[in-house]
Order: sequence, then C-alpha cells, then structure tokens
Amino acid sequence: MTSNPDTLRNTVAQNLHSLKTFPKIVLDILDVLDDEDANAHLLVDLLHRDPVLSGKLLGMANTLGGKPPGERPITDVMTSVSMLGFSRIRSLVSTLSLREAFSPVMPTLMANQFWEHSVDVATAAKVIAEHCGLKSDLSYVAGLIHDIGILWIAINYPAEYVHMCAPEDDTTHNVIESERQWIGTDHAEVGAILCELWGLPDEIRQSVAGHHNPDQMPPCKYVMNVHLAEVACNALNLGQRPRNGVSYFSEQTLPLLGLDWKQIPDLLGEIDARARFMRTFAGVSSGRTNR
Amino acid sequence: MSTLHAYIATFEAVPGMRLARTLSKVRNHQLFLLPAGTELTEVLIRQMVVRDIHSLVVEEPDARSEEQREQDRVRVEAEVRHCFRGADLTQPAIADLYASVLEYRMPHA
Repeated sequence: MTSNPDTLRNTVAQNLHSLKTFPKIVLDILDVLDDEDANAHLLVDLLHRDPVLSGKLLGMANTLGGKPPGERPITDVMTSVSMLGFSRIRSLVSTLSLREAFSPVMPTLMANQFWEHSVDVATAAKVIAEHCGLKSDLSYVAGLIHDIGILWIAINYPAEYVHMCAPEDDTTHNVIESERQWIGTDHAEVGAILCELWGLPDEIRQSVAGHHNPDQMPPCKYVMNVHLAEVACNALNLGQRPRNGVSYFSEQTLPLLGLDWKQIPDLLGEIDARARFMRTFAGVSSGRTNR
Repeated sequence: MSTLHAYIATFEAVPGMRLARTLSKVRNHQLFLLPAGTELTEVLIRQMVVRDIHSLVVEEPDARSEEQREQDRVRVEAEVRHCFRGADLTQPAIADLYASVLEYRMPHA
C-alpha cells in the first residue's frame, strides 16, 4: 500500500466495509460531554431510542445497583441510570454501542482480546482525564477506539495481519514497524483516517494517531493521556495478556499532563480497580485480574 | 492482625469494609465527605454510586505469615519485571514508571 496520504485516505475510505458508520449514540454522548446532571434527561432519551441497550441497563441496575432484597425490580430507564451513576452509563453505552457495531466483523478470539484491552485503556484514559481536568467522556472514547486501525487492517489484509502479530511472549516486537513493513502503513495512521471519515473530534483523531509515538505529534494533552493510559495498562498487566509489556514511554507525558510521579502509584491503583470493574460491567472480562 | 490498603471499585464495596483514605466529592456545590476509618453501610455505598464515585481505598485484613509475604513480594517483582522485559530501565521515565508500579503493587504482596 502507498504511504501517500491522499491515496492512503482513499484506500481506507473505499474499504470501510462494516466500519462505515460510527454509532450515532456515541456521537450524541460526545455532544453532551461530561455534564453531570443537566443532561440526564437527554441521556435517558437516547437510551429510550435503543431498546436493546435499555434492556441491558435495566438488567444491570437490578443485579449491580444495590437494590435491597425485597424491593420491587427496577423497570424504568431513569431509575436504572440513577442507580448506576451517569458517568458509568455514558462509558457503558459507548462501549456496548461500539462493540455491537464493529464486533460482527471480528474473529471471536480477536474480538475478546481487542475489547478487553480497549475497555482497559478507555477506563485508564478516563481516570487520568479526571485527574488532569480533561474531558473524561471524550478521553474514554479516544481510549476505546485507539486501536481501531487494527480492525481495519485485520479485515482488509487478513493474510498479512497474521504475520504482523508478534509471538505472544515477545514484547520487543515493534507492531508499528511490522505493519509498515507488511502493508506500508500502520494502525495508528489508519485509525486516524477512520476518525476523520467518521467526523470525530480532533482530540480523538490525534490521540489515535499518536498513541504509540506521541513525541512525533504537536504537543497535545489528549494524545499524552491515551499514551499514558496504554502504557499503564501494559505495566499493570491488565487482563494478563501475553503481549502486555512496556517498551517505550515518552519523557514528555507527565510534564504535559501536569502530573507528578508521586501521584502515579495511586493513579495506577485507581486504574486497576476501575478497569477490573468496567471489564465486568461491559461484559468483556477474561476473568484474569491482579487481585 | 495487620491490614493492607486495597483499591476497589465502588461496586466491589460491601457493608462492613472500612475506608483507609478519606473520600470526598463535590457535586452540585454539595460536599460528600467520608473520613478515613468510616465503616461502610449499604446506604453509604449506594450514595457513592449515585454520586459517581468510582473507586475507594479500603482496609483489608492481612493474615499472611512473613514467609507468605516474602513469597508474594518475589512473585510480584518477577511479574513487574516481566512486563518491562522489552524496556530500557536506564531511561528515567521508564525507571520511574517501573518504581511506581512496584510501589503500587508491593503493599499487596
């Protein structure tokens, strides 16, 4: 494949297959960013329009929401949203919608590992965003789709994709270099084009483009957030994936985010706990945790 | 018996657990504050969920022997080292990250 930007963009656009449409409900959530309560009714309206999602939420509210024994089951969306918390619901709806839209094109094993890692990085990006005063819903979605280019590559270059994957215990393998060697581009570049075609906010597009090599991008807190989120998930061995491993971490990350190393152990603890919960909440957990 | 500090998601909290750190959240100009040492009840846990408090640090009894603790320390250090097997630990950012992961995971070991 050519590395000419225009040609590459056309190639990605012509081979979107089932990646053609980004779920509208996620775009709607991004439109009502991080507003704690004012948009509760808007969120409930969005959920009412999707009976499958609403049904899942009601089920979760009844099992997870802390309903005392003997109380009547929760049967309305507004109550279930209140019981589970608005912020969690926005993350959950984004996750379930994207999985529903894109999973049918993925082999099952790839889908499980892909979404587990994506939810981990999304949760970590949200935690970091909350500590750094960044938009947390936007950061969650950026983390959720940071590897979306891999999906496009696996669909369009299935034979090459097998060769690009590192042996499971080899973290010295550079996936970006390998992808460039086999198809002339990499998943970060492809992912950024997908974000552009879907009309996603520029912070998300940049984060997807720069999550492996943030130093090659103009300084951007959202890029550094997703970079740190992925490095933290690998360092914590979340999901205990054989390929988890740290090979590079930009020196610029903490200064740009305004974080101090003294904060990092607690931040890692929060990421570990919340990712463990979110994996279960979103139904993507392999059951392997550090706890 | 000694205790550990464990990071848990709010939905993992159960009545009877004790907060190891003070918990505070400002929402709609109202402060929700639970001091360290507070014993969690069903009502408090529900209030935390509704206020979008996602995680907390609780005390956990540690009944391990000194020998078990040492074995856990060795295991955790090996796991962390394995995660950094492809990294250059002489680079300052990598070295600081490695130390931070150990600092977080070691108290549990």
